[in-house]
Amino acid sequence: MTARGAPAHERVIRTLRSWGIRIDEALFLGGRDKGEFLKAFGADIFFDDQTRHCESAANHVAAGHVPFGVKNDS
Amino acid sequence: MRAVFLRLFLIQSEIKDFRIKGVPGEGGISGNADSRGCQIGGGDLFPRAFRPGREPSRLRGGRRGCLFTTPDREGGRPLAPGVAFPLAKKLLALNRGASHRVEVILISRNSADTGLRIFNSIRHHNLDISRAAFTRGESPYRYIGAYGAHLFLSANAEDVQERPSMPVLPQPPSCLLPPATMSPTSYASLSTAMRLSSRTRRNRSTPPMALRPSTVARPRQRIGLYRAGLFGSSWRLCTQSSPSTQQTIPPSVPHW
Repeated sequence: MTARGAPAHERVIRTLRSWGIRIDEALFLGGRDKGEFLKAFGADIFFDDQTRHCESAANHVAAGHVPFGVKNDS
Repeated sequence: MRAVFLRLFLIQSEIKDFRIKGVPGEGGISGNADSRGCQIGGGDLFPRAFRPGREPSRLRGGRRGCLFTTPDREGGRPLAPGVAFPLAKKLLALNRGASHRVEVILISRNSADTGLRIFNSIRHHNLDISRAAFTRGESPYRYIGAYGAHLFLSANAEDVQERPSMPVLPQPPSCLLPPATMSPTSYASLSTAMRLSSRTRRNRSTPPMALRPSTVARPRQRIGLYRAGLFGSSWRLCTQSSPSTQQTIPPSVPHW
């Protein structure tokens, strides 16, 4: 599940391919909040590096913040 | 408005198979309103399988007989337009100029790998679609509400009947598209369905009417009918082949 949409989709898919990871479902949200999608998906736990997405997800599922990456460098 | 579509593109070789099996196609139309205006989403904008003998792809059976294509390493050649393609293109044409009235969202039972080819096909056909869901065989309809869709359209009666039962979020109105052919008659039939829907809204006791290919609306009326009828509060679900599956979708208030 990614907040990205086209045309940023290609990098997502090709990156996963290069890692040899096959995913079951892929959602390109184009900036929409992830919480409602996690509820619809029936997720048990959610991890993200952005607190905004964690807060949205925490309304529906257990959410964990990953404090690394460019979004957390500052 | 946001609309969700299935069968945006056709994967030519398997069209007959999945019609016979009653397997829903990919994509559809669903939509949602925000400050910019209207948005539309959908599946079945593209065909499901690649043409045999012309593409190095294989097919495998999946959940409910759904067919998938193997990943195409280079994103593949552009897919041919599917049953929902012309309608999606017309809806997106409402965005000409500075306004952004309609958004189309793609939902698909294909995999994310195939999604790359579908996205490339979207780009090739110059469609303004940036949001999509690829569920690899699982039902994609649970995400329609999360996308905030205002309308869901599918050419498969099973899709349309399954959607309202999904226990997630307010669901948008839905309507059955004509069978998966791209003939002008089919889209005229859709226009006729909408016209019938607006008539039956006034009299709910009217028995369901089967769509007949012969009831063709004049092409000039189509866009007007879409604009007037797509966002109505009630939709009559019709099918040309099996009148017993006719069903009236309960009224649903658009989000805006």
